[in-house]
Amino acid sequence: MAQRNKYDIDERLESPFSLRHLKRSFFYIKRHRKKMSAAFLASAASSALSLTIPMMVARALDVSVPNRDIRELVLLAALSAVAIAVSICLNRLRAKLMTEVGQDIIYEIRGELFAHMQALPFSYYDNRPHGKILVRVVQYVNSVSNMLSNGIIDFILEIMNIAFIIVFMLLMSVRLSLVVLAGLPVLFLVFFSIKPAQRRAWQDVSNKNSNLNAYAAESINGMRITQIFTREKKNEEIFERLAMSARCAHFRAGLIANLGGPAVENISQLIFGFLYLAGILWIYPAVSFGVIFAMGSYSWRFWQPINRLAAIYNDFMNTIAYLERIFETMDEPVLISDAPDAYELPKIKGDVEFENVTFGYDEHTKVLDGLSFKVEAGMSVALVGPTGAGKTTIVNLLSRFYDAQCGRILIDGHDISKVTLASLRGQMGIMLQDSFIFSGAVEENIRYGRLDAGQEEIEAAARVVHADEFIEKMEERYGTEIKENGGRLSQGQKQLLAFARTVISDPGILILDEATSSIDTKTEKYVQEGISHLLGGAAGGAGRTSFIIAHRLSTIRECDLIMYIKDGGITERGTHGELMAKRGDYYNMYTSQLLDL
Amino acid sequence: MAAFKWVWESLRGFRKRYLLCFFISMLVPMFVLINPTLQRALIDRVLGNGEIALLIPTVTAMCLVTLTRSLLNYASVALVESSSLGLVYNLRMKIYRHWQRQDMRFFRENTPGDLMTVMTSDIDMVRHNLVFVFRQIVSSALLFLGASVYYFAMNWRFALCMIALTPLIFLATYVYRGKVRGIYKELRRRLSKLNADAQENIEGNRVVKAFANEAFEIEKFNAKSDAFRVQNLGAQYIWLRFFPIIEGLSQSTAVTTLLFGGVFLINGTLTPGEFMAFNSLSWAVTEPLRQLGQLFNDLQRFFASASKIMSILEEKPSVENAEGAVVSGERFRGEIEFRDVSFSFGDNAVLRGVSFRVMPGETLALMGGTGSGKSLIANLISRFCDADSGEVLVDGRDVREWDLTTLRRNIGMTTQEVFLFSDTVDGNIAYGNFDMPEEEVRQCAETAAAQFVYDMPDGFATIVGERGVGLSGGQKQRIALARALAVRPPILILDDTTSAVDMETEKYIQERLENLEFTCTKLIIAQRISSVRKADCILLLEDGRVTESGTHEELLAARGSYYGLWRIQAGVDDGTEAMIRELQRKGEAG
Repeated sequence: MAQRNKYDIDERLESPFSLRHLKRSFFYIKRHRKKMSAAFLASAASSALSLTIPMMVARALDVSVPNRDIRELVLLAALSAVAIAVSICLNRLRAKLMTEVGQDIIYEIRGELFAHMQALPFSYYDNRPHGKILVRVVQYVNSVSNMLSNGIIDFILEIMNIAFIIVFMLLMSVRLSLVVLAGLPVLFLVFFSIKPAQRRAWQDVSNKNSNLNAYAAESINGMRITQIFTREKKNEEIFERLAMSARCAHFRAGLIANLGGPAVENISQLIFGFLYLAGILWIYPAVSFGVIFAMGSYSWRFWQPINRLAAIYNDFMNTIAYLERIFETMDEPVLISDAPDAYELPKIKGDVEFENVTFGYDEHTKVLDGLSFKVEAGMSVALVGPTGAGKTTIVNLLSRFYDAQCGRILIDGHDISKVTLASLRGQMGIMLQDSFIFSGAVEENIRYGRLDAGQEEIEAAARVVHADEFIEKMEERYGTEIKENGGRLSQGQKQLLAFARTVISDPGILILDEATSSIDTKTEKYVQEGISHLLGGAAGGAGRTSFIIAHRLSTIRECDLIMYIKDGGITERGTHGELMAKRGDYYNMYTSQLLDL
Repeated sequence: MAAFKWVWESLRGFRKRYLLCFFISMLVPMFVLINPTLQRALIDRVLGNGEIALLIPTVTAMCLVTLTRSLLNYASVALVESSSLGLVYNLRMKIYRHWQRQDMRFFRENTPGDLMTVMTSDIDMVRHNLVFVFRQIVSSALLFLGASVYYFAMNWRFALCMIALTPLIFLATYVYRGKVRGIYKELRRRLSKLNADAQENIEGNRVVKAFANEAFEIEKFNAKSDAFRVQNLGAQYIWLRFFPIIEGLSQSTAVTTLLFGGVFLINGTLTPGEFMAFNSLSWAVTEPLRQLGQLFNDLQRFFASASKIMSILEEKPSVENAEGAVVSGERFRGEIEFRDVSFSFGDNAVLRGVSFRVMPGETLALMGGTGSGKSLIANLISRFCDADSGEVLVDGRDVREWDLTTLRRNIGMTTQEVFLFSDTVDGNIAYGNFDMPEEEVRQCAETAAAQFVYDMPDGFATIVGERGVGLSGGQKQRIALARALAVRPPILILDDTTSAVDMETEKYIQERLENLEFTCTKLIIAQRISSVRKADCILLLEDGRVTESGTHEELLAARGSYYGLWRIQAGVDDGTEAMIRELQRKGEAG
């Protein structure tokens, strides 16, 4: 069974560090290869151009000045001005292209990640704090864009830059170039000794921050409970501990990450000094004053890209850590998806059949064991029985939120695992125990059931479940904005809205799972009427099949079929009258409840 | 300016480190000037005059200078990391503490997504400015000034030529600043919307699937994602308009160096060594100017983030401890009284002059329509909001006079919408009494009919997810009830606690609640007759008023609304009513 993820448990990455993630991200980069190549060319041209400037300076010093040739000097100045202007334009082009590519990549990765999340099973959401999921879709994706656009280009460019400079240097003086290049092996040594520590450190930072954010997000959602139980102090301590460990991890990572820059700086200074020593003591006068000077500035220019590579490398480490998280989410298995040859479920008539269905949420415990039953179109079925007996599981299987481990479930003779999910769930009206309301206008929440519903249909649906009474009292009626988590609506009002949402979806099969537990009795009565109206088939055709899980006797009694679920199977079935006559589990339940009234 | 003052305030405890780091950052540019000077000596004296003896000491000195400089740099990095992370820590704690003091209004008006954006992105932006931007501004300014002074001291004419164009860069940057103001605020807003949308989708994933609205969700999300992208691009496009001007001006120094340097070299007013020094230092003039735009950009974002954090921190809860609020360690007796209490949400009056009294140990039940103000009564007692008029008294004292903690310590409550934390079942039950021995946790669970926990994979050590979604509604309710019982409260408020629990279990719970080991006043809010029928008094709320009150039998006999409810719930026609009477008579006899 999947380990749940608590706020103070670091998520472990299953995949070892590899270039796999980067390779995979090429998929996103590839789409933009035209822009990327253009940007790359512009950038390369621009840096080639900027390399000509020291050459012009050298020329001025070595030729124009000794010759006192002002005309040539002006010409050189004009040339360098043009070079600068062109290189700026090229840089601008590159910046524009890369911003666009970067933003497009964010948009694409985020879109794909989000789309994948839509297909993930409940268990994915149930097993980890929501804050940890959120941070991947928003922050992490934001953080990878720069590396995947500018980072890649810069990386290639800097490498090219280095190559160019090496060529220029070699052209000028082979011996001096070798002096400069001697520093490279030292540098690699330094880098490769820092690298693993750095990766671990950044991963640690990301873990600790993610824990902190998860706890903060949960604290907001549970704030009322915290205040009721006056646990503010204790929570503050926990948060303090999390904040402190995030702080320490970040500090450590900062210390490690910042070793690279000074290392490059010192090595390059050493090389520079060495260049002068070698140039003056050994090679001079075989090389001119101008050449030593130019080599000096090339050697700086040689180390600069290496320094920048070090910085890119840093970002790269961060990005890889984020990419790992993003791809990990994208790799989460979709447990329930359309079969390859899935077809559209035709308009539901309402025959439902369970054939020998066995199911458990994990391998060890079976919630349903070889359950079989058949329900004809138009019947209303009440599922009753002790809590945890598997009533909700039955409706979850019927809506294909889970797949049965054995057996088949048929709707109108179609195996539900063979039809498309959209056509299946789109025709089911499912009212859950937990009625989640989205932020946005009241009408948008009702329209959520059927996106093309018009204003009149929305108001009609609200009237059917008597939600119109409280909606009319709100300041902007159907246009009233509701904040996250239903804002100031009471639980009962949320259920009514959720009900209207189901009604408007005009379902072929209606599933009510404790859907009215918080609605007051009078309203529930109205709602019942609304449901019967809906079930009766407004178009005059056959009624709709419905499955109802409820505790209230009045609701149960009126159903066409009552199934008593116990120990993973059906122990009794029949109408209210039949089951009462049987004097079994149902009778006992019913009479003991009547006693309490 | 207020933002800077605020940052300074928040740096408390880390100010010295930050100042030291600032000091070092200012020292470092000075070092930058040393090496070019040495280089100049290298060229003029070693190359020009052939003083070869100077070569090795000079080169060694240059290396030492760099080493010292990078060590100083590293020290300043360590200092700035330590102090900025300290600030982040301070801010996080401050915001977290602030949240904990806020009332329901605050959490209604600031969505979780907004609050999380403040906690993450905004704080990060402040830190980014602290680490890079402020330092960069100061060190760039110093670098620029230092280099200029050095230039002027060496050769004022040449220096003048090089710096002549720089005022134009300031002008361009200033104009740019005006254009981007507001853009970043909007960017931040869109990010926060994106966050909120994703968060809701995650929370509501069941509903999304139930309606097979995945495609709609994706479309909605992509629209927000695109809005964010477009705004980001917009900000960047503005920058790109100014980029050629600023970049061109700053790089123009290379041309002036070449042209004027050459001319001055020819007419002998500049030595080759001086030229070298100028040339190798030209970046000290251009770099600061180049960065100006980006720095201002970041500064804008800093102001946007800082003002958001400040405005959140400035919000005052409407429910606060009064001055001289009464703190008491003694257990309350558990008396509750409402005297003519009224409350409204805006124009919508929810309670209109409600009065009742519950004596210690009694059970009061509240029934009423959806939105009739039942939960509000619970919130008034535990003071999550205050009445508009009238008085709410607990143990004979107005709740507004009690210290909030004292008051709430004496109340155990379950809320309509059950929220469980990502913690073990044990941790959830012991939430309000976290030192509680495991044995007592089990007892509470048993009282709340949460025996199902024993069948879970790790029993009481099983972690239940956020919002406890791994559990059924009834199971969540029972854990929430156990949590409320765990604090052994003198006042127990049960808001719709057993609505998703089956009747048999409810009956079991009721029996156990009647025989608690501690005396406890109970307030039960419910829709089911079975939940309220044993109460000492049942109040029926309609239109914000108490319309019926009495015991179950009294209310049935009165044949009013309560009787009507009873008939509906029992599904009563006259035949069944007779059957119920029969059964009940038998039950009492047996």
